[in-house]
Amino acid sequence: MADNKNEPTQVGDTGHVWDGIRELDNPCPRWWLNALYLSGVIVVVYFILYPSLPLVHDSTKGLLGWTQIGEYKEDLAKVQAKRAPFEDKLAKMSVDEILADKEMLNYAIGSSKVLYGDNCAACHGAGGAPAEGAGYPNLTDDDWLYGGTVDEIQMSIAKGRQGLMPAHEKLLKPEEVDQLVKFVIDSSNGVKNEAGHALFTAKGCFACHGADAKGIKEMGSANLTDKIWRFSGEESEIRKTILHGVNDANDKQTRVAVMPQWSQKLAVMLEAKAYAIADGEDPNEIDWSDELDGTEAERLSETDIKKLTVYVHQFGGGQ
Amino acid sequence: MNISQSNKEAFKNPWVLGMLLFLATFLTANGIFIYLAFSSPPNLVVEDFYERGEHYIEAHELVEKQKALGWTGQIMTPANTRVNEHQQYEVLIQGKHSAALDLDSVTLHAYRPSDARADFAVEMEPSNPGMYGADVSFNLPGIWDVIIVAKKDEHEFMVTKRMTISP
Repeated sequence: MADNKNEPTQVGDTGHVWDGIRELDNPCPRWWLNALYLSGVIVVVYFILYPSLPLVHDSTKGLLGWTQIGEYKEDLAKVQAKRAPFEDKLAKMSVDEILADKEMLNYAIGSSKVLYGDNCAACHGAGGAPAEGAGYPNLTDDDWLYGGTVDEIQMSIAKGRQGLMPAHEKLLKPEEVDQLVKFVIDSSNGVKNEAGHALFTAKGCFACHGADAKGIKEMGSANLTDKIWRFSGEESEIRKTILHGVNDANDKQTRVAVMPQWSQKLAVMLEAKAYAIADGEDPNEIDWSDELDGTEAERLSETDIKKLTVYVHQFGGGQ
Repeated sequence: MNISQSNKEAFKNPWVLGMLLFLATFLTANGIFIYLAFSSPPNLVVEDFYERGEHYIEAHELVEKQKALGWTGQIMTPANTRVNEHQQYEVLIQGKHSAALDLDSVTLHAYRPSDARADFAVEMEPSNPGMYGADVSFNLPGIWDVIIVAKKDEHEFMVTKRMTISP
């Protein structure tokens, strides 16, 4: 009958006539029926194996006990199991040791990208170079305000940094400001400006920027003799820095130069180790219960800071 | 057998009745789901969806204005978050060329994506230059969206961060 489906006169009917239209009795194609039955079987099997039927407060669990969150946790556990040997090893290594171990260095850099993106890129830019005019230090130019060794970078991340330059609006005459602006621009261009340098010295600028105006890393002061600008090399912006200073709480137009503290705990530990070494003691003998009271704030773990130190260090060919 | 749409004999057929019952069950279940979606949890239904759509252009303009301001911000959260425990949350906000901003207000809005009833807001106080902080306690573990809104005159600036609060 199926072969005669296009010949109504050759096809049987159901005996029903709907308003004069005869209801034919063509069977469904075999492949279609099989597919229908198979899909029904699959539905039943699925309902038995997986959570399917909603109940009042829960649902049927299914014989396999599968859940979405369970699958997520399994996958996460697999990733963590793969990373665990590296993470455990990394936790025991110093930053210098990581730099010397090619495999661990690759792992640290690879796993730092998300960390850097989440915590650093908003200020320092995705690749270490901040957006024009953002006013954050560039990490790719190998010019480090607080030093570019791995230990110094690690300390900068852990402890945070906060520059300080007093506002000079009330301390300098306008012509003195003009002269100092010119001195700064001349210095960055390698032009000798003796009168400017004399004023730079007389007004005490050397105390922070050094007698040679090249900056003092212990203070985080900027090198005024190169073309790398902490804020901007434009004359108006240099003038603004001199007039309103940096982080001067008494001047509302001051510039902000703050690197947040990412681990007070690690900062205390690094400082304690540095003091111990300076005093000729073994840093492994430090009694941490004397140094830490458990209230130290941590925004990143010690291992995360190590990774970021390595990541940042390789940006600008760290020292 | 003469069958037409005026013939009600079909309603005596158990197959037809079964199909109608199936349809009624299906529609009832959908009705219950829609009712539950409206009643709880509230975030599943955006009640002012039409108004939000109308304000799309305004929201886009707001984003453009924020970009033009040249302000930047970074949220600092604890490395180990804990539910029902006051922990320090901070944000660093500064203007173009590191300019200090004498902000009128800085507010931390905590949004619970799965339940708007848990949302709350905390005012942040200035600490260091450009830094604002607040002790915040999240009362539920899991995913939260932290949106910090800084205002100065008619200017508004937002920094966002999605975070997970540990049990």
